[in-house]
Amino acid sequence: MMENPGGANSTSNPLANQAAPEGHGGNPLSRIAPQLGGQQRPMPSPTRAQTTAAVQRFSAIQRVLKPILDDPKLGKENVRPAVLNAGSLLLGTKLISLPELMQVLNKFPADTDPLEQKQFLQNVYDSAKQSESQVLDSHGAAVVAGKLPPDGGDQYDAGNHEQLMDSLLSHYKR
Amino acid sequence: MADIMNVYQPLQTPQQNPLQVLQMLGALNQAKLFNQEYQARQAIGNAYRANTGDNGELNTPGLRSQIGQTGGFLAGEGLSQATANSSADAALKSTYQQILRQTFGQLATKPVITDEDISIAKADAARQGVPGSFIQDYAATIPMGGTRKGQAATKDWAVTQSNLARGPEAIATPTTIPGPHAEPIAIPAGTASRIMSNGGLQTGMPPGFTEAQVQTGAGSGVALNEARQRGLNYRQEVYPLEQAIPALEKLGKTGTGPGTEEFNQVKSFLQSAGIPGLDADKIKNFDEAKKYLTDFVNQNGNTGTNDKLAAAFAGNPSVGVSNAAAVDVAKSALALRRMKQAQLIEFEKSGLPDNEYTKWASQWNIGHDPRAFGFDLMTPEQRKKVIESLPEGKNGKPGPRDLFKLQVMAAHNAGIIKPPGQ
Repeated sequence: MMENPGGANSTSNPLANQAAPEGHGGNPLSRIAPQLGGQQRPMPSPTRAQTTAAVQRFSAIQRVLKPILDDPKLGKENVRPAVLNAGSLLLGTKLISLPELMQVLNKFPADTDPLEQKQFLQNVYDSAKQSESQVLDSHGAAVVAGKLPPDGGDQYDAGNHEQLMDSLLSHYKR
Repeated sequence: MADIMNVYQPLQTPQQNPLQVLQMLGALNQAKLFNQEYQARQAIGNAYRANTGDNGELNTPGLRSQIGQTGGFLAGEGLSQATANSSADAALKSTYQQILRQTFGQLATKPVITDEDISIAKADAARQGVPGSFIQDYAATIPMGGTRKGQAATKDWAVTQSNLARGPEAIATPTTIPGPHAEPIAIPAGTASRIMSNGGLQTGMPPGFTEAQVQTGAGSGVALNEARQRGLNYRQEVYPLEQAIPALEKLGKTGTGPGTEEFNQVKSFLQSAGIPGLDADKIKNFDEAKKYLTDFVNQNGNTGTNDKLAAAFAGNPSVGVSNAAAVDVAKSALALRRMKQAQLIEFEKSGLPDNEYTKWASQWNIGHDPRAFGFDLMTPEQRKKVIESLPEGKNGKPGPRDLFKLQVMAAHNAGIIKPPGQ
């Protein structure tokens, strides 16, 4: 669920920091002159089905977190109950698994630190929003570049949501 | 003798070609012009940098002001270019908006607009070249569709987008829609879109419906209406049972039978429980009340799950509804009543039309375990047995045990059960 909270786990988020790929072996020319020996990063080209799966997931995360972020109590009082409620709503959508949710809840700041909780939730929200935008841009660019057919490929099937998310991540491996 | 004139010969300036002087002056002017142009271009560049946001958006008024003040003799050109850029940017955004309106406007034809539909529309827009951030900003204007009212607002929004995409002339053009007796009725196209997206003119039963559809719809409507009526009185209905249960539990330990108070509490529940043909005032004793309570359980649940429910409360798999102790029958009744209430709450959130209630409710029942709605009525030992009776998920995927826990959490979050441990 948590794409890039606080940037602390950015290496585990394949969708983070797409704008600044590193050069191969530290060669500063590899980004602008791959034919000189730098390794060209393949352009992510998520299909229509993969993009829809990703957008559904990231939208759902933003949707459940928005009311908490808009609550004036955030940053002043413990919001763990609201977060648990949001988690159960997400589980109900079946767009996120219980192990994933438990993994995030284990990292959620203590009840005595509302400010940290606010920062945590804001980071999660921003990360989901950024990831959604990136996937949409990648999908559009892939169609323009001819890497996908004009209709974007296979249609989305909710029954394959998890497989689609797994296959989507392969486009963003570092 | 030296020529005194040669000693005190006045200093002579070097011979200079007038053309060279002119050339030098020209070069100086060129350098000055180059510097001025360089500084002007740099100032314009700085103006663009200072007025471009992190998201790439340009603050055009700020840009024009800064160019005008610091652009030097290139200010005119700079302002002209800024205007041209701004116009091109506005035209591009207008194109994006049109694409989004056309794409999302198509959702107006759907009976229910789901989150999946919106996600598909976002991907469609991206394929047509609209940037992701632009799509997100646009989609942020979609009303939340979680409730029936929200779904109606979402449909209305989609129709508006469709009309905007077509433009004022197109939506003002007259068109016809079928009336209640299939006669053509002329109205503006924009109004027609709105009416047809809501199922057409609703002045009477639409022609062409089969009898089965009418009966199903009517049956759903009756069932839903009943559920809503009972939902209004939910708290009054369950309160007596919530009082009776701890009292019955205590009686079990003391060995004496239920007294008047427990009898009245169960009777009070039965009075509002909706058991057909029952006149609760005619119940003579607690045994009779227990019998009717058992009837309530049997009518509101399924045979298999009812026995599992009673067994869970008894802590004994051999116990079924028919041979359960009074307190366990009461707990089963309360759990089932709570489950009905949860079912109603979720249907109201679904945004589905009333005539789909029966079909939706039967599917919902299959996916929900009544024991989740009585989890707080169990002892820790009983809860442990229930949890352990459910298989765990495999390979990191959720299984029946995870789904049961989710149902318990959801019931707690809805205020239907108390948290485990209380």
